[in-house]
Amino acid sequence: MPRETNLLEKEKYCYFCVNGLKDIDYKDGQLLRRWTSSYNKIVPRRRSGVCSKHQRKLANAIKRARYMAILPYLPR
Amino acid sequence: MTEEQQELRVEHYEMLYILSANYTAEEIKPIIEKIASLIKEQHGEITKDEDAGKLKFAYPIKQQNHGYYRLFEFNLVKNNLQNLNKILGLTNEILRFIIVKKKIKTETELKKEKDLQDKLAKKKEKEIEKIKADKKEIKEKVPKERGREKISLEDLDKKLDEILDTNKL
Repeated sequence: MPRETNLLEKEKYCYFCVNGLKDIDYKDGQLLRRWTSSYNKIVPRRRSGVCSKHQRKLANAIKRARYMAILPYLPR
Repeated sequence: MTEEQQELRVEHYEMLYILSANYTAEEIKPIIEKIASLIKEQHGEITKDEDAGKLKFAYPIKQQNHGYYRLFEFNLVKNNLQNLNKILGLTNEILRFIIVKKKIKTETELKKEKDLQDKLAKKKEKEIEKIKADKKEIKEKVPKERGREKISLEDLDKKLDEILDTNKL
């Protein structure tokens, strides 16, 4: 069965490719928060639209930020 | 490269660490010096010492909600990193720390990045201009159509008159 396409859905793009960012800084919690869900999980690529190269770096950065208490592990 | 040479390779590292907020701003200074001396003991060369400020934790660490975030950047022989990690882990003053390898950007890389940013900025400008132009076109189109309608209305009146005249005859 073909997947239904949602016309209201915005076109996905990789934020880091579009803005020419090569490295992702784990110290910038405000930015990283964009790619965590309301349960503070890392958002999967199929939802965030980040390319595979940057998704790997992003996941690493989020995990480092969590360890340094910049991002939470669990919601309050 | 032989194994020995690889172990003696100097790498650039970035270290972020948290100090307890129980210390006052002045009590911190000797602690920072102590940590710096620990790095120097391992023949590390400190290139940057930055204060990231007193921040709130995302979750409590050892029943504390705030801490001083500080940053060191240093060059260290790869072989000594494990030692440094061990020693820092045993210092009680540090609540938590993380050491990350950091790439030093060469001039060509910096230039490349700058070029890329310039390119992106130009692209964005173009897009904005395009959107503006589109908006203008729409605005220009609308009055024209209205003008046409007006003319056509007048024409209609004339035609109607003509038709009426012909009917009278």
